[in-house]
Amino acid sequence: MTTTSLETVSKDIISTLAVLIKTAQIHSVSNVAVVNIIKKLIAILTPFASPESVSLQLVGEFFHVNKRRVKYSMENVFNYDYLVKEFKKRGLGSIIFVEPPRERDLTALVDAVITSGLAEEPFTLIRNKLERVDTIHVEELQKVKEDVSELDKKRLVKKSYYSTAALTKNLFNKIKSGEMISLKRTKRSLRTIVDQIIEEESLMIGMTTIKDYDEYTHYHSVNVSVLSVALGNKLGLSKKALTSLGMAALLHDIGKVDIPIKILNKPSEFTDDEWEEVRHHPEYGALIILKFKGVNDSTIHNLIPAFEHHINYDLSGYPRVRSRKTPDFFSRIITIADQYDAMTSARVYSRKSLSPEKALSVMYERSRTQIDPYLLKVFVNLVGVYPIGSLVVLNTREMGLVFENNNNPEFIVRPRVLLISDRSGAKIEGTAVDLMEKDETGNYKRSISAVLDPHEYGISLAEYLL
Amino acid sequence: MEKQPGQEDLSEGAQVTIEVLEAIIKARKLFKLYPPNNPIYIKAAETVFEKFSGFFHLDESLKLKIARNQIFYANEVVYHNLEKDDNLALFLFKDGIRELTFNRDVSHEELDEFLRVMSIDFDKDAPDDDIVTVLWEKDFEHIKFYADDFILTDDELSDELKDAEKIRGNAFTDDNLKKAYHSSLDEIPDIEYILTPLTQEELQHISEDLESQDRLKVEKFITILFELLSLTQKSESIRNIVRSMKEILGYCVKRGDFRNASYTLSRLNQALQEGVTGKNNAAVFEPVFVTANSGPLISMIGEVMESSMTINEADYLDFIKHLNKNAIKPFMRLLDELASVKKRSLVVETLTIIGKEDVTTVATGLKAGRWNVVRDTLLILGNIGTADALENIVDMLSHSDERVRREAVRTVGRIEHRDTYLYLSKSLDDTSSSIRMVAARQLANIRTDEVKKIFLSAISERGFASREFNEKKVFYGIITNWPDQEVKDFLTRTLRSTKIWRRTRHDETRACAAHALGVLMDRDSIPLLSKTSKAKNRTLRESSIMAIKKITA
Repeated sequence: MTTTSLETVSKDIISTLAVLIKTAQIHSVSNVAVVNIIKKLIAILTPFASPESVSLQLVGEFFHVNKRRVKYSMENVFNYDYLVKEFKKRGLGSIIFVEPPRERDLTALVDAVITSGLAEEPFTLIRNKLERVDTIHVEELQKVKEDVSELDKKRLVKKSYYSTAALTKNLFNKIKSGEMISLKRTKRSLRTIVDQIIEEESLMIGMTTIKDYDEYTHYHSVNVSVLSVALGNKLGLSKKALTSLGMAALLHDIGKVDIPIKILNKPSEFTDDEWEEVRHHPEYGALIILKFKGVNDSTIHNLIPAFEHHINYDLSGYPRVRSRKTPDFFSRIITIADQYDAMTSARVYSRKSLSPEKALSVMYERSRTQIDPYLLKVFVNLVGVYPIGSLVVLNTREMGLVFENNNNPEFIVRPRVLLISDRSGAKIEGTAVDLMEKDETGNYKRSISAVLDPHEYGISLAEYLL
Repeated sequence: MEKQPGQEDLSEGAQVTIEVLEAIIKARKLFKLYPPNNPIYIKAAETVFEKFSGFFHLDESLKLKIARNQIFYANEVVYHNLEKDDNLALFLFKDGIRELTFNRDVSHEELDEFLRVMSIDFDKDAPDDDIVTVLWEKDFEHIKFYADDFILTDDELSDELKDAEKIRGNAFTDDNLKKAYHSSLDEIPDIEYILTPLTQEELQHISEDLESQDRLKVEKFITILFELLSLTQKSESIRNIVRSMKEILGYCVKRGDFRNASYTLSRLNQALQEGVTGKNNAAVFEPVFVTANSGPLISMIGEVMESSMTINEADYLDFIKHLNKNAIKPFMRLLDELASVKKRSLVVETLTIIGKEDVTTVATGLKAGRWNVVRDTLLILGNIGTADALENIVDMLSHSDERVRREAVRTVGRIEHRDTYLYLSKSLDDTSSSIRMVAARQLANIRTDEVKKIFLSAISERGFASREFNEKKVFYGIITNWPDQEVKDFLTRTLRSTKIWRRTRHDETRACAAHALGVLMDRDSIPLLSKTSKAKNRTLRESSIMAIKKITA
């Protein structure tokens, strides 16, 4: 088989298996929808699996088919991502098709995977259920690096976030005072953020929900950077592209260093003149970047979004430009992240912030005018119907904060929630629950019945994350 | 690299590792000196791969631990250097790398990329990057590293950590929670919006958008530079924008991106016409045009031509059209430097376009030491076609190199001037047969009586008969351009004439005359041709027969 055809078949295996598991979560394994996908998977595997076996192995964040890493492209990034998470959740490392499987073998596999979803030892369950299936073997997930405890993960995420914030503040201050700047350390710190978004997206996005800092600008820049990188990661951008995007997002508001501080910190509404001055910050930002850096890849990547992030998708924004070309791809990503973070933050001139789902609702109204409709859809899939940090009321009268989304779009309304109060409203220690959990009768144990504005009550993930 | 003490005491693995490191160090140096298509560069990369292959016979992965001045393999010192410069360990250590592991499946391409990273001069060429960031971005499949990641101490983070503590301290109180709980008992309106999964078409759209984004970024950057120009009034800002325009030219050319280099200059011309920066427009933009026509930029073009980069010729020529006569000298220098014939022909095309403004400067190439530069200069002057440098060109008709003289003849032939025929006629006596024929063919394009006389005279000269048959045939073929009686009589006389000495050569001349009579379709010569069609000399016989056939056909 040629390299290209091997790559195509590998992607097909991953995509089809992902779709199969998703479908089997909704329908029973004997349902015609599930059966059809099983047949499709058999059709893909059969020519491939004879005479040699086919192994699908998860190593780190990447799948390998017959020891060849499978690169994923935009078209299958969601399925790829979803399957990685499902494998990890179950401690599943490899599925090996030793010979072309029969329909009943794949049915057994799917059944094993679905039923292990909430088991205490999911991998053991899968292995036991497949004991009698001779065409399929499974292996446990190998640890690529040392197990990091939940506490350590939070510590690492916190340190990355605040390091980047400190370096960003330092950068802004140096620019303001006219000193020469180097982006080296900031880029290095950004790299840790990118790594953590790839591995622990929810925790890092969770950090962006913590607001109320005294100094808004540089934390806002970090938040926009985190959200942009998360969105870029969902789009399958390479690490290099994610770093470029992250850096551009960090610098998107750099032009504000040239806006008088008394305007930026004004507690009341701006006058028309003051708004006019603030509207110059994109062009100031571009000029600052040109002033401090020679023209290279970095300058080009950073300058464009600094100039364009308020131009709007339909070019109705500012600054007014003569060229009628669509804003750059990175600019459009950063616009989304910028609007979302701005709306969910209480800023100096607008103390009232919006709840995350309200912010998304407003952004939906701006789709096609201010915001790229396609990227907005991806963003909503990223943050979920109930974005991380949402204060939710469950049908059990418990309250909680959303801290991790469900990757299966079919179950996007069933995220993982950190319970903060019991049925009587009394505060409890943060306990994580998965809204996918079902009781003995097969009904969901908990569902979201309403959403409150967390800012109204000063409730956030800060206590959990910090 | 310093010699390791007691190297012979080291394990086999360590000794092989030392060889690997020596190869890497050597390759690092050579990669800085030579371009990727240079054989020395290629050999250096190959050697590294071979050394690695040698190691992988012993073990499936090579794991190195990095200290400030040393590198270890399995606790054995395999590298030791206390110098600050050219210290491989320090180069890795200072940016935080503590471990480097190469897996047996590492490919040639990965190792090449790795070596390229190792040869980056970060201070000069990548001041915003360090080796950790670059290695990480490369995302190698079979080369892994561990880096000491956190670059800020808790002291440096103190302000931010205080912010975090303050927020944590303000985190929700029991009262707040109670308020929220009681609110939850009230009816809360739903937020309505539609969430739909992405369709295949939408995914396709995003995919295409993604693919095109890199291609369009530079153009977008250039567009923004011009937008900024119309938005700002400050002279310092304008200066910075103009400086950036100069730099983007270099950026584009270095990458062989002539489309965007051309775009920059087009927009600049447009901005000049629109008077974007006010009265002093031309003065403001002058530095950009100076850069576009400068030696350093054109040298860069030369480097691009010599490299393995593919040049889009249409884009390149579009760019060239924006240049002026100041670029002529640097391109003439390039003509002297380039080795490849194909690339030099591109420079010839370039100088044909811009050379029109200053033919005299182009003509200085006629004094070059290398014959091919002189030849190419002649080609350029011929392409330009003006008579301004005719005198200099004519001098080349007597150049010592035959290849130059040939081109000079062609060039003179392409230039319209009343004395062109006189100059070309001199070359009818050139020592080289091929040049004489080229001159004859060029002269043939000038259908005047004077030229006819020149040919008849040349053919009649004593030494003409002893020339090669093919050459004589060309000359006789040319005089058929004048199908008059004088020429026919001349041909008939020639056909009729006989000689005792050098008969073969003379019969060949007669054969040429027979051929020419056939071309002229001269029926009157049929009786004579019939006679010569029975000649002993085969060439004469066959030419006569062919001539008769032609006339009677």
